[in-house]
Amino acid sequence: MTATSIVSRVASALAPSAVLKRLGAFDAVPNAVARTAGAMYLARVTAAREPAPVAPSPADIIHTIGAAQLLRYRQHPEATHITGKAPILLSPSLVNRLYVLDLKAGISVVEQLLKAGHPVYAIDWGNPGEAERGVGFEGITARLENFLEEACVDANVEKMTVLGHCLGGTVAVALAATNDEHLQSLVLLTTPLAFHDNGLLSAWSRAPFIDPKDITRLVGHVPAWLTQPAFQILKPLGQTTKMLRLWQSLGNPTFLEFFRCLETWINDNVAIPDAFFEDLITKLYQGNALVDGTLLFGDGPVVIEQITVPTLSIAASEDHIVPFASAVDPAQRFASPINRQVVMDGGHIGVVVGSAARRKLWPLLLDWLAEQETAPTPT
Amino acid sequence: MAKQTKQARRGADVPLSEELLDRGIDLLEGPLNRVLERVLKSRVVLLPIGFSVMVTTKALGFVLHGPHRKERR
Repeated sequence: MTATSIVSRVASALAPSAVLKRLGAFDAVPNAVARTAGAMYLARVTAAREPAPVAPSPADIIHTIGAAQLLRYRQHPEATHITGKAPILLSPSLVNRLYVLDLKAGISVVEQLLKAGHPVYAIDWGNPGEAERGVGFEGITARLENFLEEACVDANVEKMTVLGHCLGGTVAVALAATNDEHLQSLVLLTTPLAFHDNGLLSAWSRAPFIDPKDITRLVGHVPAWLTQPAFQILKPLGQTTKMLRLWQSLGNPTFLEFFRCLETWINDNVAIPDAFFEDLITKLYQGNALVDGTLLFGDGPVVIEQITVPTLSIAASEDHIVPFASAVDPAQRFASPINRQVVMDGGHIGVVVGSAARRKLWPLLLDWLAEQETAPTPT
Repeated sequence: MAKQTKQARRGADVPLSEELLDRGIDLLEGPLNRVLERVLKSRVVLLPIGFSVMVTTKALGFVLHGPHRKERR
C-alpha cells in the first residue's frame, strides 16, 4: 500500500458526506423523523377522536327486521352506464361489523363489485336488542331468507348470488340446504362448516364444563367486551407483534391509514344474540351438527349434501379462526354440479383486506359473478 | 467472498437493528406463538378454565338473576 493510497483513503473517509453517512444522516435520522411524524399523527387523530374513513360506499336501508337491516349500495359513479349485471347479497359475520367488506376506499370488496356494475345488497345484522332475544341459528337463517327475498324483489330478479363471510356464510349454507328458491349461487368466504378442528377457538368452545346457557343466563346477548379478548388471545402473541410491526411502519403514512381503519373495525364488534350463541357453541362447535347432519330446523334436518346451487368456497391458508380444512373439506360434499374450492394465501382478515384480496379475491369474485350472469330471470 | 457479498447486500438494504427486529417478530409470530397455542389448548389449562367459568357464571347467575329470555324463535 503506497503512501498516496493511504492518504486518499483517509481523505475519503473524512469527506463530509462519508462522515454524515456514518452518523446515520441518510438513513437512521430520516427514519427517526418519519417515525416521529407517524407517532404524532396517530396521537393527533386519537386525541381529536377523528374517525377513521371506514365504510366509504354510500347505502340506503330498504328493509329492517329487529336490529338487522337490509342495505342497498348506491351505484358507483364510474358504473352508471353498466346495466344487466348480476346482483349480489352480502351476508357478513354476526360477530363483527359489515364494513370489513367495505373497509376503506381502494380496499373494499363492495367498491370493486359496484365499479364492475353489480347491484350490491348487504345485511347489517346490527347490535342485537329486545327483538333478538331467543333468536337462534334457525331464526337468523329465516332472517337471511327474508332479506334475500326482499333484495330479489328490489332488484327485480328471481334469484341472487349470496356471499357469506365467516358465520354469515354458515347461515347461508343452512339456507341453501333448506330453501334455495331465491339462490342463484353461493360464495363462501372463510366460512366455518366443520367445527371440530385443531384451532384454539374450537378447543375452547369444546372445553370441559363449558355451557353457553350459563353465560347467556347471566349476560343475555353475549357482549363484545366478552368476545373481543377471547378473539385476541387466539393469537397469544398477536398484540405484541402487532405493536412491533406498527413501530416498524410508523414512517409509512399509507400503512398508518390502513392500520387505523383495520383497528377501528377489529375493535368495533357487536354482541352475539343469546340463542344464536347457544346454538353456535352447543350445536355447531360441541356437536359439529352441520357436517354430521344432526342440525335440526322446524322443517327437518339441515343436510349439506342437499345443496345444489353453484358454490365457490374460499378459504385462507393461515386462518387461525377458521382453519382452511374446516371451510373447504365439507364443501366438497355439496351436491352442486359447479362446486369449487380455493385456498388463498393469508389469514382470516388478510384475504379480505390484504394484498391477496386485490390480486386474487376481487378477480375471482368478478369472474364468478360473470359466469352467473346468464341465469338471472326478471320476475 | 460470497458471504461478504451477502452481508454487504443485507447491510445495504436493511439496517441491522431493523433486521434484528424483523427476526424477533418472526420468532414471536412463529415458534413462540405456536408453543403458547399448544399450552392454551392443553387439558391442563382447559380443565381449570372451564371449571372456573362454569362456577363463576352459575354463581353470578344465581346471585344476580340474569336477564330472562323469551321463547326461542
